[in-house]
Amino acid sequence: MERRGTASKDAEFEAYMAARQPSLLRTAYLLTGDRHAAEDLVQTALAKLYLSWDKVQRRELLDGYVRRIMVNENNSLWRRAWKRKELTTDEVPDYTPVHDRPDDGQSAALWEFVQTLPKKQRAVIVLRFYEDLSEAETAEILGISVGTVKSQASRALASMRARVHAQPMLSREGDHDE
Amino acid sequence: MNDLEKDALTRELQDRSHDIGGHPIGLGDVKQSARRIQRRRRIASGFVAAAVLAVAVPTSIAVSSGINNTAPGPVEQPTPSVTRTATPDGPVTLTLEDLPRGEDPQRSYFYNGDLVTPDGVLEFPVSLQSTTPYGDGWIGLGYDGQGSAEVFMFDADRNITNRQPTNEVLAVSPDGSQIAYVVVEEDGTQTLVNAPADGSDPVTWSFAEQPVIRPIGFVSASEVLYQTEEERSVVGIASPEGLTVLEGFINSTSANPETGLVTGQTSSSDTGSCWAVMDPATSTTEFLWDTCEHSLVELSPDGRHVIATRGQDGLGLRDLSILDARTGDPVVSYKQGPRSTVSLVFNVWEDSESVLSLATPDDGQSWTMVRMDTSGALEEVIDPVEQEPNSDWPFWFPVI
Repeated sequence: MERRGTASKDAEFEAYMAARQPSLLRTAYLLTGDRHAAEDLVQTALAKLYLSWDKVQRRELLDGYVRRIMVNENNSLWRRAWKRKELTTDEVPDYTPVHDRPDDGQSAALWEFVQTLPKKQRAVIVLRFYEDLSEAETAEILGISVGTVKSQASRALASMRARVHAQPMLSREGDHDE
Repeated sequence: MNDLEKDALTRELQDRSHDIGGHPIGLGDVKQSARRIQRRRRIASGFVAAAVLAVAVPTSIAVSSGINNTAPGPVEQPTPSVTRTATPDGPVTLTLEDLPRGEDPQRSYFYNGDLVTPDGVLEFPVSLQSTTPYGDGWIGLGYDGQGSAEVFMFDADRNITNRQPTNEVLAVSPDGSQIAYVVVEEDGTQTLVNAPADGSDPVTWSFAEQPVIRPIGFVSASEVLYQTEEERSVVGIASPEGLTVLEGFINSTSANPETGLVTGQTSSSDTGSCWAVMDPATSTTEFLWDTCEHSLVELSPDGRHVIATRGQDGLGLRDLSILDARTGDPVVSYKQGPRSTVSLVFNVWEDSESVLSLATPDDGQSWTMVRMDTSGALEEVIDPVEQEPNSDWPFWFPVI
């Protein structure tokens, strides 16, 4: 009986994992800026979700729950110190390069800007402008007030604006749209 | 806010993440990570096996080569140790303010990935979470590039001589003479190894692929306390005569080969948990004593005392007591002051009388190591280190 319960849980979890993994990886990449760190983050978030699977009664809340885990984990104080040291190996890891597009440097400059944001501000930006969550949903996931979400987003955009003055290429797309 | 700015940002985030592909993460990977997380949670709460915590590098070990005496470690000459004596009528106040400076820690610890021993700082070619002398060299537990645990053998110069998949725990007897770990074989079966630290022939037991086996410590030199990792864990002793189940435990945290005592958890509910001490030589079904007031963390190297706590959260212990291991009677207690918020992470026995803890105020930006003991001493043993709030622990003991 218990074994059948575990098998059922595993099947259900595996189906969720298969469906959501690519999307979670994209979010994780935007949060971390590194593909390997993103994979690590997704795996950890899924592991924590697995441990809590039976407690999450409302399946429609799963995405929000796992996003919260990812953001918290990425901001976490308890990142393990031994992850700092990489194992030396002769094997060359698989690597999928992410190429900048030929856009006069705007893309690279914007991405560079995102990577300079403090972790929590970056999480606000990713959840608001990539995940397209509302301010309330973002606040819920980050465990902060709606006011803080507004101020963090506003601060990030203000920083971006300041960069525009320093790097006019950031404004070119806007110019084209106009 | 300017919509064009937001649109540009949104487009960039979409474009930037669009091409990202990675290795598919399988259920097996997730389950393995889940087990690791469960273990970390226990450790963050201080609930870690005694013998596992006893992965101390004996101070008598002669570290003859490769010592980097310029590397960070116990960074200042200690001033004479001053202790705060426990008042007979009450607990010692747990605070990090104005602590006296004690002697340097007499057991090894990792500092930013390097092993700081009382004799110097050692670097290893891989990132380790635990290590102890073995044969002419060292044995250590670390992770490969994919995050899977491996047990590494090193020669005296700390070159890797062997590596095998393992279950993430290296248990070592308090005197460092016996080491227990699990090797995951190619067919998935598990071999529990009890290896003399002098490198002589080990004794092994074979287990099926599931459930995962975790060594906890030693009941005697030839008897390894282990538990299974499953919904209803089994705690047992592996001896040359076979396996013996200890009834009544749902988890085990500690064993001691001097006294043969075992500590563990007997129940858990939303309102709390109960813990007990057993002497398996006398009975494998009855407890010496039990408590629902304290959680039992780790037996001392001589087996006479046990670290216990009444309060802990995700950041660590909020108080720490030392109890008599045979009776449960309190020896000394350390508790928060009215305005003090100290968390104790990684609580380990330095010797049979003193405990070392990695301590931080609640901001998590400043870390230090403190020594507490059976007489109620409280002193700082290294200089505090400032950390960024989101960074890692600066120190950890070679445990898990």
